[in-house]
Amino acid sequence: MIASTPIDVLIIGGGPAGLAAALAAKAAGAADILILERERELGGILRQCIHTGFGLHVFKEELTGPEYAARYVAKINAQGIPAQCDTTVIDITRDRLVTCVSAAHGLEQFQAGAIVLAMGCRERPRGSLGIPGARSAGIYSAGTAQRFVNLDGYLPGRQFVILGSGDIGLIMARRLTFAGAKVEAVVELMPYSSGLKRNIVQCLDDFAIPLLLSHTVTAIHGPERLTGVTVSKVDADLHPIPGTERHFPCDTLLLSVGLIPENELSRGAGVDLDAATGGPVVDDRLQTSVPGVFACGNVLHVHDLVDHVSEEAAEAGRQAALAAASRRQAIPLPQPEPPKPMASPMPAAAAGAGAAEAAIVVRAGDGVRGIVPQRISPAALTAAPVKLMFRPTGVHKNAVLVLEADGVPVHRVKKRVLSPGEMVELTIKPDFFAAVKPVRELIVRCENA
Amino acid sequence: MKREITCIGCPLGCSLEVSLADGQVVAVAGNECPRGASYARQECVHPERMVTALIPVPGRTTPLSVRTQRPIPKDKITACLRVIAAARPSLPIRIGDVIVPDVADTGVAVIATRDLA
Repeated sequence: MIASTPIDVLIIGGGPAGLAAALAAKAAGAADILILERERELGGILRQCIHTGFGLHVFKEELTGPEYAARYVAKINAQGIPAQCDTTVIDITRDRLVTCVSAAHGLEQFQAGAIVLAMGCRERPRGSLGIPGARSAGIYSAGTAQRFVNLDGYLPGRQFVILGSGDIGLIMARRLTFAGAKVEAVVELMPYSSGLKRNIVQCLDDFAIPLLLSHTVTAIHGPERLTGVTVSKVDADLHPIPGTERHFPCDTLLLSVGLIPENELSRGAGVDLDAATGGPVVDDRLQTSVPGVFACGNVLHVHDLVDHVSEEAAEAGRQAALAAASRRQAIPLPQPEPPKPMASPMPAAAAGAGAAEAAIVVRAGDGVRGIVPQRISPAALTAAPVKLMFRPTGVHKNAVLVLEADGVPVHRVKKRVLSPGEMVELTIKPDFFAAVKPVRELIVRCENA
Repeated sequence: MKREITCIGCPLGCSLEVSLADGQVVAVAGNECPRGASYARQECVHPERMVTALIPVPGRTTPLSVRTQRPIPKDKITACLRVIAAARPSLPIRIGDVIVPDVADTGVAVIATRDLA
């Protein structure tokens, strides 16, 4: 047995989510906070995102990833919030006992008052695509190549094809071109790109790199190093069309085919996961199904903008600090205290507000997918606006988003365009529900889809 | 003269047909909102880009990442990259340090976007 160290708020991951959560927890009065980060420096994925486009919302200027991270790290240092890098968390229990390993400290355990899950996401690997062909060297996820080039200082190839038109792939097309490599094509299965228009224009069009929509890689050539790929057009059902094959010579294939929240630790802690987002099911306070465990950033659902991660994580950090504080106060203290608002042995804030009354379930209807939060406490719904975030299932022009409470439409909002590449926010206000009380289920759906 | 460009104002990504005369925009078609017209005027007359790049530093695994302080004319990107590639900054470097004071006669500085010791 090793002795566990008590910590008020323990933050798993020192990327943008973890950093913002830590600052907000501190501001909310958390007694002691610790960030655990597996890399050797704080900053997470921002460290390798050397392109601009970060911080327009939070800092009102256009920064690169390392600059955005550096501003948060400076605040963390100024606040004296401790962070332990080079440390990998290997287990989290329902009772918030966190086990981690590091070269410096060996095996350690922390007993947390509250935990913020901020582990981010990882890239979908080749294995999840089922591309036929040789298992050649020279096939990487786009983010891996980004790390090779931007942090490790070497180019993984000279001639590239990129499968998938996610933003990382687009950004890498420009970076590789700047580095003197040739990008033959970006190949996208869907009839639209999930990447930002700005990236298509400034990373592909500027350098005359073709974007082949409704195409996919159907063969990989070269038993040792990759020598080329076969690309085919696909039909409306996304099946390759025989006779449309084209050969592209290349020594490297990059995959930019989606991101998956990294929830192995969450699963181990017994946190309920949502199949649509790949992240934990959370309530309006970003608390998971395990009391005292909160989630934010890309581990909760994959975001488009780091600015939104920071905002969401700040709320998770604040809530974690409040939960940890109420847990501390729940321990009987010898001195007289003012009467507490709740007499239950489990404080309301820690057990999830509305533990007594069933949470309202939020579901995605037609044309909508991956709503966060998935639960709202009835008290929260009538107290203040609650922000729902989700993605449309396809590109919808002149769409109408409809919010239904127990089958009754209570709010409609027109959207000129919806695209899966851009997360949608819908703020629901207490006065929507004047006519329908109490609400048991909320559904968001998209009309004219 | 006509040019086809894609508007980057929103996910709609309107295909804009821009009519140019003497290097000036005289008409924009295909845009569904006024942002498309103003984007076309900027993009067809004075296109600008932020440039980010890497400088290998001898003895360090991680290259120095840099950016232009402001967007520079698009046709200066190649010249800008060439100047950046020739830069030999001396360590230690602090985030925000000026690496090239005026890149490719743009009047724009290139600055470090990370610390490198």
